[in-house]
Amino acid sequence: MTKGKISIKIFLAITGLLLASFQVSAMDGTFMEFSNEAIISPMAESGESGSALAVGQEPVSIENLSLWQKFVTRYQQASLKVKILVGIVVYLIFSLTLLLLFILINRTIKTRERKQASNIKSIYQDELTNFLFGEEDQTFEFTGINHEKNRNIFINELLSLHNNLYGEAANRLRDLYFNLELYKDSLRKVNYRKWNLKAKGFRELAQMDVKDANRNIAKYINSRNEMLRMESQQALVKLNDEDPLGFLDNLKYELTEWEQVNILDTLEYHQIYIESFDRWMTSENDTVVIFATRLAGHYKHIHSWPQVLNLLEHKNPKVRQFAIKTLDMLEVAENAGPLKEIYQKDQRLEEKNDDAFYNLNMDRNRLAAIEAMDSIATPADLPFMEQVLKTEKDFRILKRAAGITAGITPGGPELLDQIFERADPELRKIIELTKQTAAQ
Amino acid sequence: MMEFFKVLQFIVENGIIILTIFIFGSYTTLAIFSAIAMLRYMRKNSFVDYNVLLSSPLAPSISVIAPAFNEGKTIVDNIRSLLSLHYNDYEVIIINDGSTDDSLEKVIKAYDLVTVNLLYEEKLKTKPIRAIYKSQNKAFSKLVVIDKENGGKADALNAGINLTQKEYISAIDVDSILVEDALLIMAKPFLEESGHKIIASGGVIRIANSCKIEDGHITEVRLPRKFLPRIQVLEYTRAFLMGRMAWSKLNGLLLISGAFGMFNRDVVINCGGYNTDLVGEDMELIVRMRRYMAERKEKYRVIYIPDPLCWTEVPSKLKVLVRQRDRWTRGTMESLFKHFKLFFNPRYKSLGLLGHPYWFFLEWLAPIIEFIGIVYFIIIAILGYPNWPFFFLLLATVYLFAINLSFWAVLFEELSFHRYNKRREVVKMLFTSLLEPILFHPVVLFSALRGNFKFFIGEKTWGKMERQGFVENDNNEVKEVEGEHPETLESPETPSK
Amino acid sequence: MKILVCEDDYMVIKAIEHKLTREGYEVDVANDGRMANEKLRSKEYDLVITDLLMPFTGGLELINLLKNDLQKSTPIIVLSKVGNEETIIEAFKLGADDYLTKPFSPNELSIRVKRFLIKR
Repeated sequence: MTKGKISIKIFLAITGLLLASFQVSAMDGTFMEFSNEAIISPMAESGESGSALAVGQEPVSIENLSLWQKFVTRYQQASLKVKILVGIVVYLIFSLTLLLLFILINRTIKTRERKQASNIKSIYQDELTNFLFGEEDQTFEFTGINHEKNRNIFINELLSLHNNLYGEAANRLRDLYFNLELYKDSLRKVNYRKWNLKAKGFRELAQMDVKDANRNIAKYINSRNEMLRMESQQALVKLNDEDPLGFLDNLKYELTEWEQVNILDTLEYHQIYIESFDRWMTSENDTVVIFATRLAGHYKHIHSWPQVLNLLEHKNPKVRQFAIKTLDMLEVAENAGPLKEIYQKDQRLEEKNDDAFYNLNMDRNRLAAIEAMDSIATPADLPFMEQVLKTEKDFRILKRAAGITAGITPGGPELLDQIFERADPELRKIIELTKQTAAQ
Repeated sequence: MMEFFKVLQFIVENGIIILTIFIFGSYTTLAIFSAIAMLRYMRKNSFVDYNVLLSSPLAPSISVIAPAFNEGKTIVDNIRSLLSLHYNDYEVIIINDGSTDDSLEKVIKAYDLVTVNLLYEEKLKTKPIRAIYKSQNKAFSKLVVIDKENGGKADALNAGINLTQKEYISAIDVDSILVEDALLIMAKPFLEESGHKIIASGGVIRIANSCKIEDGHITEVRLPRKFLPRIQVLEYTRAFLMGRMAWSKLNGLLLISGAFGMFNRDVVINCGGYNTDLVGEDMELIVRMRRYMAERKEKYRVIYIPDPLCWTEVPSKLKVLVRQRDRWTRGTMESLFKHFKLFFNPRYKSLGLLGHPYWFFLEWLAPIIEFIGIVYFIIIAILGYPNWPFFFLLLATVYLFAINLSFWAVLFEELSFHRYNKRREVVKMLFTSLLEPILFHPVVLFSALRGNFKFFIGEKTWGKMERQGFVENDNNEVKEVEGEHPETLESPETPSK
Repeated sequence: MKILVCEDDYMVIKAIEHKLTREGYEVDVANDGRMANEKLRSKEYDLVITDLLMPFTGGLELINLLKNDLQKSTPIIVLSKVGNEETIIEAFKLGADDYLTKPFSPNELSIRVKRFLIKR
């Protein structure tokens, strides 16, 4: 990529130079009558073969000059327009040649580099596996490890192997990493200016559990560069033993879903245990609240139930939605009351508001609420179900509600039959299909 | 009289020159923006592990929707390939759009399908559904097949959109080959949104002609052997890597290929789905989706992913190519005129100020102006004494510029995904680019003009497209097979002279 | 004792290959689903270790192939990064004999291999 940037810079420089030179030469060119640069040559009396020159100029004895001089003369006498075009043409030809050369040379260099890299990569792969599973008490020499480029490849292979293993094998690799002082390379990377190198440093340090790096990396939690933010999060989750998700306290930016996915993945992969997520459910940062709620649901933290319940009152509809979904995952019987309440509340909110998007959110919330009733619905909820089936307009919600009602015994199927009598065709279809499915 | 002609002459000629420079300038600017966007993208994704989405409970649900019409020869393989994508929560919906061949029977047999009774709300109007099928075999549980009356591609897509309850829909051509990780890679940007809602994303279309295909996967990438597809490789590279990346960055992307794109289902439905009256339904949907969001003052983005995720076949016969480009032109015009309100309208921000005008001038008007220029020159050549040297100078400038763009495109490809491994192929591509303005561009120009003509006289057909399938012969190469089938709409931006 | 390892990650293959060869087993390798398919059909193995995500045919399909189509009783150990409940259950339903998630311990793998092969 550096080469690409350099070539862009070269081009810009050349363009600049060429433009500058044209300015100079154009200044003494005369701006001829437009008809002379027209595609129609002047209806001249001269039967000479098409001359691009101005009418009214002294016919220079052209035949006496050499070809090059002819060309130069014509050029000098031509208008600004022509000069510009000629300039562009020259520039383009120049640029083409450069591009061609660059493409071919780049390819050759890159192929060679790739080959070298892949060679040393295989060597290291063999040496590493030999180290792990070979004869004991062998002193190990790793080829070419004094060169930085090689060391980086070595680190990659070591980490790649380490990532797949745990136990004795993993520990031995880690010891090797420290013995060979490779942690120094990783630490150095953190101080580079280019963010992708910094991020690489974070990863290496995190994977090899270099605790000292903690402070250093934590500085980037609120970096403007979103990649650095994420990589530092990932690293801290792993490195910070006492409080893996501590950084969530201070996060000023939105925690994107991608980041959430990655953090959860790290927690699971390294089997990091966190007792409670409650602390973040009161965060100012809504995305952090959402994340905490989702985690509570995922890990089935029943003890968080009261906190999640509180979130049903949150002003952000998205937060409410995830709170509902978490309640669903927690499957607590006492959910029913709050769920019904929020269903009704959101329904009222929708009636007041016309916006399709806003209503989309409300729809989802109501749907989530109904879905969450699935595992906990009891005959006591039948009146509520009746109300839903009679007043709800959204198809999906109706379908779900019917399904849940059918599953309530005793009383569910009977209620459906009752509603069927007065139902409109849509609802009838739903009820029919629900009964069919239930019968299977 | 003389005066009048002189003035006319002045306007036309200088107009052409100014326009040419303007076009050059635009393409160059786009190329620069693209370079910046590409660089950033490559760096960002250089060490992403997409597999985290595979086992994550937080991963979004995706529905791959593919309409099929008379694809009998290859449909079973195509479906197989789609079912083996690496993703957890996804489904494959195939819509049999009233095929007249044995496609449906073949699929039912191969995948052990039985009719099911599904109840869902048909939010978009479509032609009647005859039946819905699912597989009895657990291994094919992700497959759903809809059989319906013929209604065209847009109608079929709408039927699929109605059925799915997944969050995102990925509309593809059933004969496109998707890379295994395609869904993972496409899903990621949707998860990274913060502040702006990403409503749609488009992927690059790569040309599969002459590639080695085994079991529905591309095992070896090769430059197309025939001239016509090879030129299209250049064209697509320019359009995708040097054009669309820029538009994505500027948030002015107007078109996502019908061959591969991912959309937010709710937004699509709220907009009314695909328009079945049009020839260019994929472009028009994007424009409409963008209008929808802009009119509601919601912050949104339409983005673009440069990874080679989707490989498809391009026309290798001249007639077929002309028909395709003719249709693209009509499609472009449909969208541009239907949404003319956007033209330089600041209310729509980059869509109105940059996107729409750009397409209007450089995609639609450019061929027309070029045509005028050619006619003008011919008239001059007949009537007067043409100023040959100047004319050739102009021609040379344009030719060199076009080739320059192509060379840059090759460079872009080299520095990013470099799928063409053999040096020989790269040289061949560069050489082909020398011929393109001479041999290929006139064809494109002609198709565009024909499209314009047809549009103004009101013709709205797709025309019969010859079907060439991915039937593998002994060498596992793409062999050409005859048949009839409506093709997809994609419209790479082609530089015009 | 012949063992087939189906895995596309080069390092993992190397690690397993080394470890098991040291223990005295004969190890054959398949880098993708297709190769694995061919080998399973054409040769006999005493044990199969397979990942789930590979190019072409996936691991679950391979299990199905071996246990249901080819009707062999060769023990299958799944070694995969994917660790969610559904996939694990699916694998066992199709006929897998053991399921290890990555990161794995080579020592542990070796013991489990031994357990299966002793029975033969």
